[in-house]
Amino acid sequence: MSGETRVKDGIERETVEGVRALEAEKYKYGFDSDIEQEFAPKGLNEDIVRFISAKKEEPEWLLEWRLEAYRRWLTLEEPSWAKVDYPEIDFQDMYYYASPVKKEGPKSLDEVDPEILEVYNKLGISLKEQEVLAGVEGAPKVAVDAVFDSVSVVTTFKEELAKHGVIFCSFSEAVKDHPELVRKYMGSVVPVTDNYYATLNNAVFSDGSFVYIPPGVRCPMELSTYFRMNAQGTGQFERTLIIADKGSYVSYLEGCTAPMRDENQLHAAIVEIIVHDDAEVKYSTVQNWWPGDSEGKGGVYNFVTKRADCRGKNAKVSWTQVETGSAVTWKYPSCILRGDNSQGEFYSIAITNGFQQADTGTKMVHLGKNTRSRVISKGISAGRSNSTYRGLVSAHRKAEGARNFTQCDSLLIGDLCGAHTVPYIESDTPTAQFEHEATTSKLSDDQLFYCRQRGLSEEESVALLVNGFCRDVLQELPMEFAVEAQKLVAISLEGSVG
Amino acid sequence: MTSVIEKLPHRRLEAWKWTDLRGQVSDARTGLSQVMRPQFYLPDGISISEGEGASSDSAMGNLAAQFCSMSWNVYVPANTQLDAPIVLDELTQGHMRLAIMVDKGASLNLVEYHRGSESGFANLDIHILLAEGASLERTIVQDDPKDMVRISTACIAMETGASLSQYALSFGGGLTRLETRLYGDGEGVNARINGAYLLEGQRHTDMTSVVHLKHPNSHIRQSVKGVVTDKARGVFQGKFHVERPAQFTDAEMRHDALMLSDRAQIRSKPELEIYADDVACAHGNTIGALDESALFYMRQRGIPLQQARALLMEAFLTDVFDDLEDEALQASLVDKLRTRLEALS
Amino acid sequence: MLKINDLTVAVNDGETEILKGLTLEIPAGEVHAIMGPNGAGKSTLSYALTGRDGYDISGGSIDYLGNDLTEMEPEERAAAGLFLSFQYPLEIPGVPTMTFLKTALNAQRKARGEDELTAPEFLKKARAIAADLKIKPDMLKRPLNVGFSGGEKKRMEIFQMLMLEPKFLVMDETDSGLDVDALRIVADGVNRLRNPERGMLVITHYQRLLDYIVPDKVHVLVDGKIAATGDADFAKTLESEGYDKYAA
Ligand SMILES: Nc1ncnc2c1ncn2[C@@H]1O[C@H](COP(=O)(O)OP(=O)(O)OP(=O)(O)O)[C@@H](O)[C@H]1O
Ligand SMILES: [Mg+2]
Repeated sequence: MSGETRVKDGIERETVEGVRALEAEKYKYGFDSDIEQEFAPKGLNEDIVRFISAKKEEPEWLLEWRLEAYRRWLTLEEPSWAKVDYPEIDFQDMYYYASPVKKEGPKSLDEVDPEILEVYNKLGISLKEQEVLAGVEGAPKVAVDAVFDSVSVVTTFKEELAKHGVIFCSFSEAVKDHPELVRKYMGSVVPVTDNYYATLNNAVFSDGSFVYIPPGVRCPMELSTYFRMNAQGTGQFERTLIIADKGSYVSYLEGCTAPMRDENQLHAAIVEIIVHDDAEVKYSTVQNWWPGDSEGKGGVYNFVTKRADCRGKNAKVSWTQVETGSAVTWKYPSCILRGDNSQGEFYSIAITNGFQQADTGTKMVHLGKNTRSRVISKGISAGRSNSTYRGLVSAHRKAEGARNFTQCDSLLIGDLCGAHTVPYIESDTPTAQFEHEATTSKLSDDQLFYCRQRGLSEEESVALLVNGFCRDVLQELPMEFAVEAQKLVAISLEGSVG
Repeated sequence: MTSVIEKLPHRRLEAWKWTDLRGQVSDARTGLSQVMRPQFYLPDGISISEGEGASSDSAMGNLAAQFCSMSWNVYVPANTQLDAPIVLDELTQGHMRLAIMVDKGASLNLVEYHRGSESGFANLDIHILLAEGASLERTIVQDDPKDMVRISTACIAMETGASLSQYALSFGGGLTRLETRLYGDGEGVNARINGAYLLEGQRHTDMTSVVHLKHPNSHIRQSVKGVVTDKARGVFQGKFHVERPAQFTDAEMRHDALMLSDRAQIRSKPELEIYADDVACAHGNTIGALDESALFYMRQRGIPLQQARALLMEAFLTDVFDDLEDEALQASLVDKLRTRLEALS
Repeated sequence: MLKINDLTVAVNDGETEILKGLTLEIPAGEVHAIMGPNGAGKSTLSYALTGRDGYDISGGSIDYLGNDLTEMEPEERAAAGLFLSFQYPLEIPGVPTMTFLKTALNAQRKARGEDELTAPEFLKKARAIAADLKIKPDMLKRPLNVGFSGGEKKRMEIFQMLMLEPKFLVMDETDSGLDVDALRIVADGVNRLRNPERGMLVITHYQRLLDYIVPDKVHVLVDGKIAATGDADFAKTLESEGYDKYAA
């Protein structure tokens, strides 16, 4: 294919215009909102764990769960195998609980602190979701479960969802209202002692989302959660549990922004997804947490454990992520393909700039017959950043007819960054068919020149070409996310050329 | 003897996670704390001496140094063109250190026969320096008994414009590992690192390589192919490490493996670590069974299943030896493979 | 010579039935053509005849020279003289065309209890046929079909056919992708093989080929069955009228 046609493929008017409109947008999310916090004292010990549990009025079993996890955590060592480098985290110098004061759980928007609404404004989630939050007639059907610091403060569309039997609520509520579901599924995908950060999460998790889709139900809207971290020095330990019962379908969106600050923030979330027979879950993330300042100071540490268990036959799960933020990212959304004919997908864009470091990828564990998986990863490194794809594809002896295709491309912009690919491929069955391709290259000078000849600035050209490079992944995102993500790609690369 | 075992790398080390050397070695092995007595066949004008040799920083290198205070040293003077290869044989068991320097503009063919003894243990620590414009064609034929444990590590430093072609053929053993560490210490080095393995029974082989480039304009091609059957296990670990100054590196790595039985295993880790932006680096990895439609096509033309399989596998494996310059050697590798393939039931 | 009776064939682990009771008889010495819309099951028939995995014969019978074809392995059928020119010939990397062909020829001869051809005999024959088909000698050294153009691959199928001298030929769209000259060369090759002992089944979409290889009968295959049969002129009618009126 000639350079010219490829460039044309990559050019989309919208992108060009989007890039132009973005001048002013650079880190517009850098602010601090000022809501009184009710802190637990700094540090971590059994008393803090008890405090958290008591604050949340948890049942005895959950307190025991937390304590046991805490004790296990003490015996574990922080992992060091990822290609990331960061100052030692002082786990005793952090707060493990913070929640907006005074609320018992608002029943409507009126009860929501105006300052929180103001935060939404600044976040720019205003677009459609604000209307949703404001309850505007005819607003698009997106249910937003906003996690403001540690406690869910707004949950909308509950009723409409309830009509279909869909449960979408904060994790704490689920513990109160649906203990049988929580007890049945919590920890069944990511065991308490899965890894250092997951174990920590089990001890101190704050709040998160809970989703249950009953058999045969196609969730009538996309479920969306905006995570934010707010109080200084507050660790954020989200917990998300999604259960798609037989023959159901749900698309879940997770988007994040974080306020600007110079203190590192630790984020160690767990997402567990259970997919039963013939069910499908689509999980999309746009992550643009504060990456640190131009010297590489501050920024979020994002150590997340995300895993989906395709428990039933023909189950399907698809992870799509656009990772542009955080100082350090350590994240491997995975699929356990247990049910026969189950399918896993992972589509990822990871952009690092400045001093960011990302070590991300996926695990596709083929256990059942005729299971299929597909991995498309696009890594873009600019500035002095480092980006690593780390992935595992494995086929168990019983996974007859398993198929995997992995395509893993890295792009380097500038000569001070790094791009790395570390795939692990393990096959124990002759009928499995695994294919892995990876490339590392730079943007083509010819293509850049072509764009500039047509009047785009160098920066615009880069944004445009990078969007083209990411196309395979961008098109997997739900519409409303895709546009945002394209802009994000452009914003994230600002300052990377010239 | 236990002290030797304690010094062996084990599966909790990332680089040995699929090749658990310590777990495989017991006191019963012969050669564990013994010096190897290799046989060298040298072309006219080349001599061999004993000396301090090069120092190692790996566990296996240190172990070799513990038993071999002296290293075999071979020197190929500048601009020498030899008409015969250096052949190494009788690498039966024990530890050995070898250092070869190919001086400026000289070229050398090196052929190593790794043939061990029953229940033997062998540890080869090889250091090669290719000076400016020097070239080396290295061929390794590893054909050990089924319970042999053999670790062979070659560190190859390449100066400006040096070139290396390496061809390895491995039939595995109780546990065998062929490690190649290539250091591009000058600009524009050129390397081909190819290998084929064919494993049956409970054999295990590990082809590990690291290519570390520090200067611009290098060209690297790697292709490793494997066929495993029965309960055998094939391991491939390849890494390209391209440092910031190594601009315009053009490097490609491939590993392709066929599995013939449902107890066979393949482990593969093709890795890229890239810090230079103007490079073209790629790797590819495929694992699967023989192409069913190709088999059918061949049978439609009357070729019996067994023979069609052998033919396809031979074609699949031997293509890594296509560029071997020594044609007689190439033919002998292909013959060896063919014999083994035909013997597969 | 070939008797297909009420044949049903399914793919997809037996889930999708493609041939639904096909009956066809081709006596020795005759050439029959099969035409029909895309997806009708023409290639499926060719695979069922040659024994490809995944094409399950769920009913009916195929008798070939008094043998039950369905009981035979693909290579046994080949040795018995059954040759399929593939609609999409495969690329076999690493196996030179000559090596492949020699292996095939000698395997067939051995299976039939004949002497293997010596290398010089084989070479002589191959060179002569290649020259007839205007195939350049260096193409024979290349891995089979790898990087060959569509037309070259088809020509290579005919080359193999002439080398192997089968008793019964199945040609699946051998004309597709051939230029006019190649078409004539191929047809000449096929016509040379025509004799009272040989049967041929020619699958094609174009009447053009049948101008060169004149069939004794033309069948229309629609939806897994023979919907109509006619003489050589029937192909012209079909080409102008299409298959609509045979649709189920
Ligand atoms: N392995 C398979 N799995 C599922 N469907 C198949 C398979 N093989 C063939 N089919 C289907 O069977 C039908 C018949 O295919 P076939 O190739 O025999 O058609 P054809 O008559 O040769 O068509 P054409 O003229 O396009 O070559 C098609 O609908 C095809 O999609
Ligand atoms: Mg067809």
